[in-house]
Amino acid sequence: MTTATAATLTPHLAPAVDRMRAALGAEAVITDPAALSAYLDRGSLTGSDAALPAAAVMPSSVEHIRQLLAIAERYRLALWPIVGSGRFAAPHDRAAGIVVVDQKRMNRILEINEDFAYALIEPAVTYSQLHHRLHGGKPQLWLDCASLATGSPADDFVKRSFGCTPYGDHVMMQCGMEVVLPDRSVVRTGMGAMPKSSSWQLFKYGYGPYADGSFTQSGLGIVTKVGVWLMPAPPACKPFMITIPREDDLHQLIETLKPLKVTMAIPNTVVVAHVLCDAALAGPRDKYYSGSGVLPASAVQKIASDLKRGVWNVYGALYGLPVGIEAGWKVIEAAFRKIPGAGFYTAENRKDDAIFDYRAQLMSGVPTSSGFGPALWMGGGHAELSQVAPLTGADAVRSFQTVQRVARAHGFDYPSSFVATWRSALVSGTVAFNPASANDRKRAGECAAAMVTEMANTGYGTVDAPAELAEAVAATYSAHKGALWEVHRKLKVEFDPHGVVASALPFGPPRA
Amino acid sequence: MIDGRAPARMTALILAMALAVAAAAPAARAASAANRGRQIFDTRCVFCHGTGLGHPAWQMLALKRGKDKAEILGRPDLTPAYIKHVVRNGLIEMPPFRPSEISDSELDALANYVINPNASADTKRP
Amino acid sequence: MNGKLPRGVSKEKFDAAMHAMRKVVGDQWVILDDNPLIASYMDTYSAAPESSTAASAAVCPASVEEVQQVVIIAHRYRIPIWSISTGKNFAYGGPAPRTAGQVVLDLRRMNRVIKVDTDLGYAVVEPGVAYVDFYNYMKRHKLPYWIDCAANGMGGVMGNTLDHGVGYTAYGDHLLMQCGMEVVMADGSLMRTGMGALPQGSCWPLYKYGYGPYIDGLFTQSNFGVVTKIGLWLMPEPPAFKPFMVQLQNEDDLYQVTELLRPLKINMIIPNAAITVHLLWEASVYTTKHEWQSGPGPLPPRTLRKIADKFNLGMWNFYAALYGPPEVVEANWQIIESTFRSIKGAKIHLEKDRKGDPSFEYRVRLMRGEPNLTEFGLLNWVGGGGHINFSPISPASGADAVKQFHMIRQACEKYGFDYIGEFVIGWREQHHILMLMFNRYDADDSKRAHDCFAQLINDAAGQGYGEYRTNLHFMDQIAQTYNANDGALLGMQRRVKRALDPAGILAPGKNGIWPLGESPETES
Repeated sequence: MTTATAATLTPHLAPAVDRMRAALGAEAVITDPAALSAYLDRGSLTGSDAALPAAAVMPSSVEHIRQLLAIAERYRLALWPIVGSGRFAAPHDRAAGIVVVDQKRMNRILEINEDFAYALIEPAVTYSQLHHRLHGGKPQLWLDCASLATGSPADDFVKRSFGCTPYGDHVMMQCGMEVVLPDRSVVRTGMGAMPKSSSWQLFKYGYGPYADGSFTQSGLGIVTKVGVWLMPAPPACKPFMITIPREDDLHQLIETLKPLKVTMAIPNTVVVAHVLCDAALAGPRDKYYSGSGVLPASAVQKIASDLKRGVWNVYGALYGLPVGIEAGWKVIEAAFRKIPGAGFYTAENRKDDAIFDYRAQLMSGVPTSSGFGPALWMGGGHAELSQVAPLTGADAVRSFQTVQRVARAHGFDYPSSFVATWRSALVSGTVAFNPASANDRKRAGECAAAMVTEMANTGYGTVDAPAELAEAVAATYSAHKGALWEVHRKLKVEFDPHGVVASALPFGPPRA
Repeated sequence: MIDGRAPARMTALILAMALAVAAAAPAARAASAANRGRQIFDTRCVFCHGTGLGHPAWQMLALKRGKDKAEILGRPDLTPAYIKHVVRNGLIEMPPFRPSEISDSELDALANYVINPNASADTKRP
Repeated sequence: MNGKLPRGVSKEKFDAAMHAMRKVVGDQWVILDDNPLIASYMDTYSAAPESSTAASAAVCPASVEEVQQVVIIAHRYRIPIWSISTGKNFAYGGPAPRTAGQVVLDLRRMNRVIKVDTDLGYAVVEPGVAYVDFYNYMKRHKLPYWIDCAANGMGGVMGNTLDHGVGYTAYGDHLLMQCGMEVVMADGSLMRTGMGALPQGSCWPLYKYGYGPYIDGLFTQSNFGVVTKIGLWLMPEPPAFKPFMVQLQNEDDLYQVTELLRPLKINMIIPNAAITVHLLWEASVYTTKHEWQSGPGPLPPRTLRKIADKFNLGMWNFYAALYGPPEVVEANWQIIESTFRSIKGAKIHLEKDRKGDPSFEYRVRLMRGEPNLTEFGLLNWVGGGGHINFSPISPASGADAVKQFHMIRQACEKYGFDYIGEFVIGWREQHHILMLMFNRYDADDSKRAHDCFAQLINDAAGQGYGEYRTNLHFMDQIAQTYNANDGALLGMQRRVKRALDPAGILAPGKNGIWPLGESPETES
């Protein structure tokens, strides 16, 4: 650390940093701006205008976290937990008082239990780390990956991301957790609150209120351990892809899918990918089209035919005994054959298709790395959004038309998919923009904001959005005079009266 | 119809209908009350007071008081006051039922149904 | 008024509050304790005197608006209100509040099935919908979905879900299937969780999580709000349904059946909440203790063997069902049959093998979501109406099941009771339920039952076993066993209580959560 850096520390920060160094060791505390800028994302809606945090620390234990909370309270700072590729995204007027808590050193796999099919992990354990440890186990256990191999199952639970196996709902498949509250108490939820219990990862609810969900997408505490149920490898697995030729087939497609999901005939999270999403997995836009402006329909058609896909491509899988899979496949095929021109592909008849292989891997419990994706469609500027729609043809069409209209009006393609879980679909898309252009970035921000508003007005609430839009998204959940966010705010104020845990979420009352 | 005698015939007809309705009203009310009593018995009481094993109250009464006391429907020694008291207060293994579950008027209907389960069968249903 | 006033409330304030509430719900729907009707709010099954949980009044609103107004009045006068849905939580307290003097907020009149959507398979219900009503609704409208009911057919769909209850079909984890919740908060404001907070749209019962913290679970087994609606997902009528029973000869078979079951459950070969039931639980459908022994004390092993032989039951009886397409059901059946055949002396029965057998029939009904009350034949075992459920969670392991069985039986025998228990098997754990049956008209019997229960809580905690749900009288003792890290969990629950109900008017003491400044001692 240089004296130049020390000189930039604000008065209340310097003694705090000293204490953090004393508690964690000097090398676990970062104040150098170049190093701190690693916690920003140049491809975000804020880009290089983003504010740096005051410092970053790398705790390796629960005790470190407790000490950091005490220091934050004493010196009136806030802690911003980051796991993996999470980013710092506080506005300028707050950033100077916030210290990033990079949990990368909290990366121990605490327990793997093959008999009961679960793992207990620290926040920074990655899918690839866990996959490596699970390899060769008896029984072999699968991972449901809600992000890439470098992603974190614990963090995906906290973010409530979905994966593509039957264990795709990470909140449903989580069991037991440990969280350090702002008052430094260490809470183990569920059966973990019973000393000597061996059921912490076996029974979700414990005794009394079921609180685990309160620590997902929240600023009520810093999560330090998560229990996750793992799926034993089934006797057989059949990933499939059904190509649906035309954009207008969307209504019939979703109506066909609906009963198959409600009856769990297709037990995993089904992704209905627009061809541009698949295209984005294989390369950026300029691989396919050199013109500017929104891709014309003819270009989309050409991409589809070059990739031997439909405009819509349904990815699902069957699991279990071969006889069950065969029976299930007959039902699915018969249902979708009613859509003229539908194509049916499995590993047997879809060779040399890296995109299919990637999707199949996700559905088979294997972590993936992909060089590309919608985030890189326009060179790396990205704003991801997801809204919830009922799993019906009419809602699919209405939601798709809305997002497309808004995207087009702002000059963007919007590679999007319907992610079908249980009884609803996540309408998930990316506003991809050129990160080198300030104008494009501004336009992307306006597009994303407009999408949130228009979708809310149409009855489709946003459940995932960039940090820059957190307040705007929360404000759309305004029923009953904003009663829900009033409850969130009351909880936040009670749990964290000194504001020592920071996140992008707004815990003031939403704007009417 | 335009007829000199029509108004008188109409009046007679209307009067006859009115009388028929008036006569039917208590019968209809009785029918509907008996139906209500049966409906409550069938959705609240039959689990335990139905006939045979698998119905805990029938089983208990059969063991303690003999098979002829096990069947409460139509049992001659029961009175409405007793039935209502037991329903509202519970009795040993039987839980109490609150007015929010079975209102006072429903309780009357239920008690009468227990004492005279064939009443609803006797009355013509509309 | 005859009984206790709520703690800290003067007679004047109480009367003023009741007067105001009468104006909201109507005179007949405020029942004071000098009204004989208050007797219907007693916990008539517990080991403790009824007076210890006697309500000072009951108030019965008919709508959400009335609930809000009643809550506002309760808040103004600091009246503690204990909400019940159908009030049939037998063995756990029924309609009664945690402490004498609380006012019961009886939501039974709000009993509409608001909606059943057959397209996407969900329902939205009010608190007063009982399983039997829900079932009849589905039948009346010929809807191709099954409900999942608790063993108590009169239990509340909402109440059971909020108390973490379980049923016996593939949708047996009721809280897992809940989606969307409406809550009246302690200040009378109305709140909907998840997607329900979006003014437009219909995703409320379709997607659980919304944006921001997922807080539905906070309103279960707690006292942070009055829930007035829940959404729940329904199971489409399965193409095939195959219930079966495995009759296990020996007590020791508990170990093997549990070990064999675990992989079948984790791999979802058996998708429903299967159940391993002790002989005496099933025997109670046919017989009572007095037919076998006139004196006190538990039945000896040779008598159990006689009962098993007479009624063709195993010392343990396992029930489960397969659901799904016929080919899958048959394929899975092959695996199951060969698995259970490996248990020496086990007899496998299908429905056709046990026709007319009331104990198998009621299990089949439960696994088909058909409400009934046959389980309460248990009340006839010793008679006298007393029953309280001791409900520890066990890992789904043979060793733990056996350890808990022996631990519980030992305590039962010490206090003179039979072990009457069952293991309801989830994915990786079992709900081990002990039905402690006693004569509540006998003070000594009641005291022994109470003391047995209290000892069991401590014995279980000593082994690291905790209960998932409990009776009013043991809510504090059990809450205290979840005390890791200096009671961090309860400390957190108290924070939520301070945040959402600072005046402490909602169900004080539910699951051991007391408002600031109150405790079980201050209540007595």
